[in-house]
Amino acid sequence: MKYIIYFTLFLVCIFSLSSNYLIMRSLRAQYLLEGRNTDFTLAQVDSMLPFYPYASATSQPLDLQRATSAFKDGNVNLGYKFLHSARNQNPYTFYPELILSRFHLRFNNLDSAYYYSNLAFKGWPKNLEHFENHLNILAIKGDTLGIIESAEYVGDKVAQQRDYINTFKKYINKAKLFYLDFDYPDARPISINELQQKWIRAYNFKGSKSVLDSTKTFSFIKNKAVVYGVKENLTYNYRLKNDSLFYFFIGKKDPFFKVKVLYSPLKSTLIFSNVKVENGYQTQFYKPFK
Amino acid sequence: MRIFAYIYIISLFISIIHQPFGSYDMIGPQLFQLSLVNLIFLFIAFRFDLFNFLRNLISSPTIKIYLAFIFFAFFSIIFASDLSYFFHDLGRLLTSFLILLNLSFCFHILSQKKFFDFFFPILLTITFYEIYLSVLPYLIYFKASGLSNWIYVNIPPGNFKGIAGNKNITAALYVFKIPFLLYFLDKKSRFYRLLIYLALFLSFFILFFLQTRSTYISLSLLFSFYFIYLLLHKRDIFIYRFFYITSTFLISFIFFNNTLKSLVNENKDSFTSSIKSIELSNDSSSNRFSLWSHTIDYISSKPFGAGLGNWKLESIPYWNQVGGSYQVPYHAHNDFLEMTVETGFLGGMFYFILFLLPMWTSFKFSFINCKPDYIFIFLGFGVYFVDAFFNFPMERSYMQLLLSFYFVFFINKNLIDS
Repeated sequence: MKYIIYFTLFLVCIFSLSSNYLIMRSLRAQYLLEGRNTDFTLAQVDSMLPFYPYASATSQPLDLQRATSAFKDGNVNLGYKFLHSARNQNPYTFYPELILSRFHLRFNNLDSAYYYSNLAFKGWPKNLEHFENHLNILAIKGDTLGIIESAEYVGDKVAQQRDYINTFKKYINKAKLFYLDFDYPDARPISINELQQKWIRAYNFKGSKSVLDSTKTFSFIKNKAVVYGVKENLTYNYRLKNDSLFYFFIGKKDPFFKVKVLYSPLKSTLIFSNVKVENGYQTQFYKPFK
Repeated sequence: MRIFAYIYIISLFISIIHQPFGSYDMIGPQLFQLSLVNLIFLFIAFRFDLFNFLRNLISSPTIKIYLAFIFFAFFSIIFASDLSYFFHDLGRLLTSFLILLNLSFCFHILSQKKFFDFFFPILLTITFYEIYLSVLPYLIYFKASGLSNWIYVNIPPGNFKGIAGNKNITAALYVFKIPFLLYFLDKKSRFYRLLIYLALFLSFFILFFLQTRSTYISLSLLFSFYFIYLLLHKRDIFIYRFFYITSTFLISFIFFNNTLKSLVNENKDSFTSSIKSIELSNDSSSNRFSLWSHTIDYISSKPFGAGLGNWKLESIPYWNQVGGSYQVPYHAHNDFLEMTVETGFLGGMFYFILFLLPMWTSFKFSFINCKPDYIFIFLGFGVYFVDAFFNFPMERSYMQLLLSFYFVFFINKNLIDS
């Protein structure tokens, strides 16, 4: 009996010592890896992290560290394998799913990217990264309804409401652009006769009627260009040379503005390319004002 | 054998304060060193009369309940979805239990007087060492920039965390040692009593800066029960003790208040606002009500629990819309509920009784039967109970080590008395 008790105590001691040793090694590795995971190769990470425990002190699966290092080493297949094992190590915070979604998006596997982004977002909506990644994929797919549903799914439960709303606005706008028609294969330089009429800003959507914006209209009459405003109209001189349109202040010789201009006879659309706007450049479309 | 017992007790505390390796959490090296010390001591104890001692020890109801709890904790492996978390926590639990066995053996071979005579200087030294670590950031600051910039110094509570990972644990550690300090007030000469009052003064001073509400609750309960006990059973020393302890507290508070007033950057009424903010609401309790309701929700659907250590994983889905980014609760912030949700109703019940039994017995023996020393056991378990009700002392190895001393005191005193 005595030796059974002693042997049991010895086993208990050895078990707790081994378990605590592995935990100590893991915590030391996490201390070294924290914030510096890109500095270590997979071999280094493997030598630091023991096989147990699987999760970090903050419940994140430790195979994520191995996956990151494997990708850095260029071993994509192994990194992908570690991402999947990380999913089993913590099936609740869905961080591996986010990385898997980004991974597939990088390789243009849109369906797989959507599958994982949906899992990550629905499983852990309170992380803005999950929301943004999911909305980005929905925007690429042109799924405006999906974006609205996702915003409704989040509701007002999560913190950072302002960030969530801004992200929603950003991607709903991006999704709308998906349907904007940028395809004008018959576009060519416009003649002066075709140009000299009144134009209105237009948004041509695939498979539906154009949306006209009456706040942006202008006319070309002889050598004068009239831009119609709400309170007053502005008049400039202009010159058309090949596919370039130049604007001049009245009486001045040097143009203050120039833009590349094309015309699509099939869709009756005037196309201004690379127009400088507040946040960069955009292509603008105009239709004859009737 | 006595020399090994002394070395073992010292080694336990060295394991806590010695941090030879960098670690994400100091609990890693602490647990490893404690289990290593346990193993070495057990090998030595095997050569002496450990077996007969264990046979005697097992007759203690507390040890029986502890073993029953360990049994249910082990049994919960059936329901554990993640064995990694299970073994992680089982290793920690067994380490604490082995410390209890070994310390009990030390108590047995040294006798109560020698055990506590040896423990006293260690306790006092480590208390002063913790105080030193708490104020160390400021000692470094003043050494570098001189005292002339005193008024511009910042004093966020986290700066005083000292030996522990966060301010709540540090505060709990200070308060948890106070019952032992009060015990030694009865046993020691005037010079040592002076040192104890100094330790109390500095502990109070740091506690004011730490602003942890749960320790204010346990501190007020501790001294209320202590003074009631003195009033009922030790009227001859009540006036002196009340006067000296209250004076120590008040002088410490005045000193703290003047320190605070001399600074330009600080919230002047941080202590009083901290006291005022003690109320029973979810927001004021850092979402503790939510954490507790999640455990109740889980246990009502799974009465056998999630498996030891697995609440860390199973609690995560409850937090998928609460808090920021990847923030997860990790603990239920109530050890009794956490043990219930992990080891099931029976495991939780045994864990609760494990603390209820010493508390009730020591309360009965001290307040009703007027037996000596039990009041300090009652106060020690009371402080731990309050901390376990709001935090997770089971996770912290230092708290477990100090708890083992209270357990050893209770079990062995109870065995001798019975």
